Amino acid sequence: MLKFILRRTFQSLITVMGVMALTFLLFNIVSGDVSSSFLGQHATTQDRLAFKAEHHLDLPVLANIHSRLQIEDCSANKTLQLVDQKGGANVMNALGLYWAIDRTKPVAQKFYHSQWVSLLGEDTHVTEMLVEGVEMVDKPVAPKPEAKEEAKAEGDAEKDAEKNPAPEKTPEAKAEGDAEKKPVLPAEPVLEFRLCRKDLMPAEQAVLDKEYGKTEREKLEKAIESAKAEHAETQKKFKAAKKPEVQDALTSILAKQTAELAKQDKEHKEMVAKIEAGTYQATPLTTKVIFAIDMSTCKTAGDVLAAINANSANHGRLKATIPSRSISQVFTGTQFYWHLRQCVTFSGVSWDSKKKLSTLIVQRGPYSLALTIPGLALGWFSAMIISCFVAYYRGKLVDKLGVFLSVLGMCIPLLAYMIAGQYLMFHIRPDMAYGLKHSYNVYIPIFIGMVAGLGGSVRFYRTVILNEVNQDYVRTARAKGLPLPAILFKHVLKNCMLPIITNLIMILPFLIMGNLLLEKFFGIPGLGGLMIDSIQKRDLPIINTLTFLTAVIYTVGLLLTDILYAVFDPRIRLK
Amino acid sequence: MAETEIQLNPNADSGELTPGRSLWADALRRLTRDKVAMIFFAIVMVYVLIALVPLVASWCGFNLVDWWDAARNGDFRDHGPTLQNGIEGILGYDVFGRSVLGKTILGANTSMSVGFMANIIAVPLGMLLGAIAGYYGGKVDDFIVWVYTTFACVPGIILLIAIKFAFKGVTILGVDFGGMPGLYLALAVTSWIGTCRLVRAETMRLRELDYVQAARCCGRGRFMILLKHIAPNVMHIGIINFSLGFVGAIQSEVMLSFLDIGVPAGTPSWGNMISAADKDLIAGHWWQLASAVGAMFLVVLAWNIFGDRLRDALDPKLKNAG
Repeated sequence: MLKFILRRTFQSLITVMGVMALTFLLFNIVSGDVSSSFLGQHATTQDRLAFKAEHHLDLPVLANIHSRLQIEDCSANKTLQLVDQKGGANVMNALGLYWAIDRTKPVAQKFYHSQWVSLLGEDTHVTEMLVEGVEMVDKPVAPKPEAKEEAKAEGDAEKDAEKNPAPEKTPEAKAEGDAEKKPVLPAEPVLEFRLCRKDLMPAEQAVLDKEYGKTEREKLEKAIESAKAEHAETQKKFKAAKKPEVQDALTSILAKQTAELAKQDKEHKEMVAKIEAGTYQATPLTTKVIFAIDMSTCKTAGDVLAAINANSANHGRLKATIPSRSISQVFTGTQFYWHLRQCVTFSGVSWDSKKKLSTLIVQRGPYSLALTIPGLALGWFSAMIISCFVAYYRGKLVDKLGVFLSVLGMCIPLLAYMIAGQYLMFHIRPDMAYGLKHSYNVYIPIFIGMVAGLGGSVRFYRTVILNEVNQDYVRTARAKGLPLPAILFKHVLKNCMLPIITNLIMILPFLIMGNLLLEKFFGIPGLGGLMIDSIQKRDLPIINTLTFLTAVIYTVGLLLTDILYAVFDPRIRLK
Repeated sequence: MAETEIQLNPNADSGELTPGRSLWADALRRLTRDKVAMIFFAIVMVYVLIALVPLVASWCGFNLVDWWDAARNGDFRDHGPTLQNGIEGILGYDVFGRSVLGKTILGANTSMSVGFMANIIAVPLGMLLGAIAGYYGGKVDDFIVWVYTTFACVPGIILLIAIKFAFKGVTILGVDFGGMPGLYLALAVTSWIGTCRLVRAETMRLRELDYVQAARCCGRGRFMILLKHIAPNVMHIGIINFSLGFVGAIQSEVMLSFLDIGVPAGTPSWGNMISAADKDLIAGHWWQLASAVGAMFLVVLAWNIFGDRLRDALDPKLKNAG
């Protein structure tokens, strides 16, 4: 017995694993890029990358066997900055070092890969990156100015706290890119290592600020000039305009332009004052390209290494190596590992509502159960009574009528019952037709579900009962002179309980998921509706963990059924 | 048992013995003698013929769906059943003034193709895997049982929705799985398990029977035994499941269309009609729902009863037990 249970438990574990693999296959692999389908078609590359990094979707899918590149930053008297090996999965990971997803958090060690694989050879996975201190950019792409400013502000804040150049990476290096922002994809991608202001010596910085201060000042002055010219032109137009509505329109434009001018003037004054006082800090984060590697010549990870180490402009600032492959990351550095981990630890947090799954289950589970448990109990009970009744009159008109009606009932789709039921309710009590305005509204879907399922179950139970009626003991009982009702309800029912109870236990695990259609149609906020919504939105943590939960309960139910069989039927031995 | 009888051929003067009817001929005889089964089979065939009309038309280069879609009657938008326009209007008109009768008839094509395609994938798959698992046993069996238990662990409807969603916008080898092929595949993937289970159990039983042992003793290869001796004897399970699975597929199509992930919008199908009726009915437009449910009801009823009779004919032992 114990051996049986142990063996079955092991089998259940494998089955649950299979279910996890199935959901993983369906939602992470078959259906394509998760981030773009969750965030929508128009999400920026940066958002998508950040999203991927946050949810471990950037890791290799099943096995992390790619060689890893390690870069040590030997810059300016500082101790070696080792590349984080824990999260690193591949060349670009290592190049990428850290990726600050949320710039308010100090460092989040997450990485991506992308189409760069094709570029770097089969052996490697590639990620896009920006190393804070050393920035890598896809050359044809101009860095976004607003991103730079952000980085600068952040960099300044961190500068005092952290002396080491903390790495960071640019998502701009994503080769696929946004169509509208990067109309031309790089034919020959170039990795640029740029010097960040953070790494600058104070003297260098001063030069930079002065140099850039000058150009920026010129730029601003030019902008002011052109704005002034525009302003003047608008004024001219305003004077020339006769119609009041044109004048109205021009007045508002004028007001806007004046405000703009005033703002620019103020900026200019501040800038000049700062430059004169020597405290001005230039906007650009990066100044000059230390060196660039033409990635098209690099076919393997080794080529990338050589290109970085041997680059004449590097001056030993960065040292790239490939350490031995790490076995520990083979499985734990994969998407599948995180997928399993999320389900097993039950730590899923909905991407959509940001709520913990356990909270959602506690919130919504009772609604599902309130719908399914009475539905099942009532349905079962009425089906039993009707099928006993029908079986009692076997071969007579009642039986034929009953079977005929149950076949008819089976042939009408559940949806038709639901629509018709709701329509009727709209005419009788409109407030009971949808939603949960009153708690007793739940009886409508329960009743509809029960009626819809009645046909099938009556037929099933009738067959089960009739199966028993043909047995010898029934003949004996009849020969003994027992009345038929006594035989049916006392002996037969007892004996056909086993398949019936088995059938019931098999349904039980699915009760928690509720009845998807009824919940959706009648606006009951149960788990079934949550599941459908999550599938529609590709809210993976919810789907995965709910499926996992069902699979676990189901396999446990199967095991229980087998044990119950052995307990209640002495003819069955577990082996 | 009928199949063991050897009958005298009444026409043969010499009185020589003719070979007995085969198992299949016997089942066919039982079925053709069953009037109820034949009536409902006729209904099914009528539906099949109706479903074939758009297909044949498309072979002749004529798109019936487009023709029906273009023949809009602007004056009769949302008009109830009427006799003014002859046969076209007897089931009323939809929101766009298109004939509901036409929609119902064209919907038969969708439903029938869904039922047929889903089962033509699922039943052979289930039979093949079931027979292999049952006959070879051991590791192969364990693996196949694991696969179908895995599928059975996920509630059917969730699996169906999940697969349909996963296929959204997926194109493999030029086949767009976001549309109908994805629907066929999703329905097939969720419905092969029952066939597989039954065939596996039956194969396990047959494997130990004397005739199979004899074949093995004669040196027949394992695969040939499976093909020649076991496959014909589990075939009836496949046929029965095909007819019963048809009903399931038709009903699932309706369910998926209601959730807007079934048949692509714009394709006339009973599911889309019932789904549309959800909003229509409140306005009192009952005719779309009624015609779709009516059409579906009849075909499902016919398939159900015919399937039951078919089972009785093919598997007489079951009837004795029941």
